[in-house]
Amino acid sequence: MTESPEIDRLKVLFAHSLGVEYGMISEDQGLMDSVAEGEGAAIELLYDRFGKLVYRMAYQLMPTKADAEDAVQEIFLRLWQSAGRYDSSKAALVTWVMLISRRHLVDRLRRQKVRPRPQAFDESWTLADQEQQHSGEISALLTERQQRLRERIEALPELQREVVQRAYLGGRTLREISLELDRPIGTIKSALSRALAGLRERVAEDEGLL
Amino acid sequence: MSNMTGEPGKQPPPHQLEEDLREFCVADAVGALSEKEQQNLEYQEAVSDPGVRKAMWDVREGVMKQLRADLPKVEPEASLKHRVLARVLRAVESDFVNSTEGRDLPSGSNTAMIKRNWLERFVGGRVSPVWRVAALVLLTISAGLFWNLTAANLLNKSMISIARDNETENFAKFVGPETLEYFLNPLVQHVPFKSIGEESDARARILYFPGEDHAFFLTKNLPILVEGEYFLRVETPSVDAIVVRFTPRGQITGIDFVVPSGVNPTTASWVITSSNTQNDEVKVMQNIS
Repeated sequence: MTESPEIDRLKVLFAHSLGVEYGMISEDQGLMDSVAEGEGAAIELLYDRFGKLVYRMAYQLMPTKADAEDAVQEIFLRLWQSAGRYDSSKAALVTWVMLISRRHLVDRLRRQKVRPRPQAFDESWTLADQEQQHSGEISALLTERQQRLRERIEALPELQREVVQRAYLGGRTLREISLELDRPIGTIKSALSRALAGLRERVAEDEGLL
Repeated sequence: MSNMTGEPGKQPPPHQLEEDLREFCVADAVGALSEKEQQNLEYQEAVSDPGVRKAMWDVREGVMKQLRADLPKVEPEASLKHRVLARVLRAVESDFVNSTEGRDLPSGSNTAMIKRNWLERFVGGRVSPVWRVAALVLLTISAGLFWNLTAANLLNKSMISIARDNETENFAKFVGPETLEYFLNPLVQHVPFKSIGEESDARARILYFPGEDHAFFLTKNLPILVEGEYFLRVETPSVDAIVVRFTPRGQITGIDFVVPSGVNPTTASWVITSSNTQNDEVKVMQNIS
């Protein structure tokens, strides 16, 4: 799938720069090899492919839009720094980018020790608060999506709900959650895994896939 | 896997590994691992076989899909792209300048980066094919010219060397191999001659080893006399004597002679004379003092 003829051309050039014919290597691997070399065009292509995704991830966890934009810059900086470690035989690039992004966002939350964007686990949080937080930036889709997420989380068993709210939305570590909830780490770990599986099932139900 | 938060240890049975490791991968994907737990997980991944590593990433991928589905549908500002690229490329340039390659560059200079990027773009094919072909043609022509000039130079030197060798060999045949030493030994002193009177292409030279009583007299293009011969005479305050009598044989004439005692060939006066009769001496050449 191609985004534009220009991006297609860049992809061919990236392949050629590695001395191979386009199609003989993973596009993702070729792109990240070029990013690791500091090639401006490759970094731009990386942003074109994943900038929106990374921004949405940052927007979900960061308390303000400015923090989200700062975080996006930091994440792409980290993507460049770690590009040499990417191996297309292990993971799709989107998974790798999201993992790097997620780790950075959670680290940033912990460093700043600020509350993330108000999420479902705060019982006092209302849709009105959310609209005020975004001050006009919010879209109807954001409200609707967040509402659905909140409902799905609310439907989980208590322990799973508590764990996923703290880990999934709050950026807490297993150990921190274990201390907060006074439960063994193994229990917390299992609860998180089951909670996410439950959320996936509910998404599938909502979309009529089950 | 109970040892995940401690030191990596013995591999647990596969089924236990699968569940425990899977849950850790889920937690990692959500960002719920501490830094140490993350490092332990990465170590576990590194020492696992490819199938396990792939499975670990599959678990992460599954969680990422879930995360992605829950993301807000917001769009970044267009200016964010410029800010991101500017920040990353500044870091790239700074990293390059601070590296070995760019150490001697002025702070902030991106000259080497531009050159490196240009070269990499050229070699990597990101320059138009027309320019690449033109550059290759120019390079080929330059290399050819250089080769030709070098080859011509070498050939010329070779030819000169061959000619010199031939001339020397011919001369040696004419004057004898033992006299060739006069021309090849750097210790030999030379006493050149010049023509007297009419301009001619006659040449003459005396060659000798300092301290020795023998010398070699060489002439070239002296006119061959119909009757009579040439004389080589030396004059000093104390000596006035004819040391050589000779008749030119062909173009070059070489004669070995005894230097009179007490005569320094370089400081003495030498003269070549011709005479049809003994009483009608004509000076033809004399040494250049």
